[in-house]
Amino acid sequence: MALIEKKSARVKARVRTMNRTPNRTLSRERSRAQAAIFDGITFLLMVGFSCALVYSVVTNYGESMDNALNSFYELNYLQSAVKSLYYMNLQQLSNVASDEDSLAPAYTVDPPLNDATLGCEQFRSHTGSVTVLDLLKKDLSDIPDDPSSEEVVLDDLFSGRTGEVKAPGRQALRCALKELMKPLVLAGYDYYAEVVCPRCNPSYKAIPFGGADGMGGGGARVTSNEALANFDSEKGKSVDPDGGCAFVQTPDGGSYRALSMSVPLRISLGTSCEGVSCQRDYILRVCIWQTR
Amino acid sequence: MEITPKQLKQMKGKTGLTRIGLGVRGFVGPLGDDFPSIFPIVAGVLLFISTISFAGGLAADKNSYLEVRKAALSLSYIVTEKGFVTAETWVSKKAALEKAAQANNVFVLATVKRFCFDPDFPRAGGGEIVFPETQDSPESPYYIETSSEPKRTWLYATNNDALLSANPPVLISTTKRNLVMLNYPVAVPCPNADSPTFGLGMLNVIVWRR
Repeated sequence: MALIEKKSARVKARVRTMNRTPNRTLSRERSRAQAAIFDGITFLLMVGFSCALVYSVVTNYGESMDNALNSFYELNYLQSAVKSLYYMNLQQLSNVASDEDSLAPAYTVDPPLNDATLGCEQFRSHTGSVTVLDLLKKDLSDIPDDPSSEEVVLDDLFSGRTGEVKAPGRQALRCALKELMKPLVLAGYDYYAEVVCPRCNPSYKAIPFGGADGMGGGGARVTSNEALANFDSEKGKSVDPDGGCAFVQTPDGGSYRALSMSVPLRISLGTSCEGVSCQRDYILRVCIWQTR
Repeated sequence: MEITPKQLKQMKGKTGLTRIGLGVRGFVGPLGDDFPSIFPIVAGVLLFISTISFAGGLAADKNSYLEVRKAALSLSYIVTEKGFVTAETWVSKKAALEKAAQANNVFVLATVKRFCFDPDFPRAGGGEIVFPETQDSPESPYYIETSSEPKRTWLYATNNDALLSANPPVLISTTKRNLVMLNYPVAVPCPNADSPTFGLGMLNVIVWRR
C-alpha cells in the first residue's frame, strides 16, 4: 500500500512537471527527430552533387589522349602522302578529274582538273618513269634574267635564258594531292601545299603561284579550300608572302590547329649557272586543318 | 496539455515508454525517431557506390579502346615506313607486323589495294581512289581474297588464322569490339603488279582486341 502510494505520488509529480513546462520539453524532443531527417537529406544532396561531379569527370576522361592519337594519325597520313609523291608516276594521274558533286568544289577552280590541255589529262603522253616531284623540281628550276633577283615562280613553266618550256610541276602536284588527300577531305579536312624558300629574303617566304596560259594572273593554288584557292576573295588575297599554311593559323585564317609536314627539296642546276646559284634548297610543305 | 494520472498510467502501460517519449503524438523512441533518416542515407550510399562502379567501367572501356588505337598506330608505322609497297617488300613487313601484333595482344588485318590507270585501256577508268558501297563487297578493305585487279585486295597480312578460312573471306566489323581502322595512301606498282612504275594505292590497317 505504501509502495502504491509512493508510485502514485511519483506519477503525480511527473504530471505536475510536465504540465508546468510541457511545450519546451515536447518541442525539444520534436526538434531532435527533425534534425535527424534533415541530416539524412543533406547527406543525400551532398552525395548527389559528388555523383554529378564524378559523371562530368568521367565523360571527359581520355579526351586529351584521344586528340593526341588523332594528331599522330593525321601526321602519319601526311607523311605517307608526301612519301608517295616521290614515287608516283605522272601517267597514272592522267585520269584524275574534278568532282561533279559538291563534296570537293574547290577542284573546279581554274583550271579544272579534267581540262584536256591544262588539267591532269595532259600527263597521258608522259611515258617513262617521270615522277611528280621530278616535274615539280623542273618547274622550280627557273633561271631569271637578272641573276640577283632569284625570282622563282610555280607556274607550270621552266623559264630559262633561252625562253620558256612547259613543265607542269604545280599541276602534277595538284592532281596527285587531289587523290592522295581524298579520304581526309571527305572526312572534313582541308589541305594546302606550297614550296617555301628557307634561305631567301625574307626567310621562309612562299614561292608564289604564277600565271600560265589561260589561267589568269594568279594561277591555281594547290589546295582544297575554295576561299584560299580564289585569288580575288578576302582570304585569298591575305595568303602571300608567308604562305597559306602560316595564314591558316592566324585569326583571319580561322584554324589554330593546323598540322603540317615539310620535306626538303634540293634542286641542282648544273655546274655552270652564269651568276645564279647552282644549288637551291627548298621545302615542300603540306598542311591540313579541320573545317567540318 | 494536461494529462491526468489515469491517462498517464494507461499510456505507460500500453507503450512502456519512459518520460521522454510520453504524450508526444507520432513519437516512437530514440532509435525509432531516427528511423526515417535511414532511408536517404541508404539511398545516398547506394547511389554513390553505383556511380563509382559505373565510372570505373566507363574508364576501363575507354582505356581498352585507347590501347587498341595505340597498337594500331604502332603497327601502321611498320607498314608505312617506306612510301611504297611491292610484293617483295611486303614479305618482310608481313612478318614484322604479325610479330608486333602478338606483342601488343591484338589481332591485325592489313590490306593493300591498287587503283591503277592502264594507259592501254583508258576507257576502263582507274587512277582514282574509290570507296566500296558495302563492307562485304570485294572492294572493301575487310575483304581478304586477293586479286591483281584494280580496287581489289592485292596483298594482305593477318595474325588471325580464323579469318583465312572464313567464307566469304571478309571480316564483319560489327561483331568486333573496339575495332580501329586506319587508312594510308601508298605508292604501288602500276599498271601491272610487276611494273617498275608506281601509281595510287591504299593501305588499310585494321586492329581489334583479342
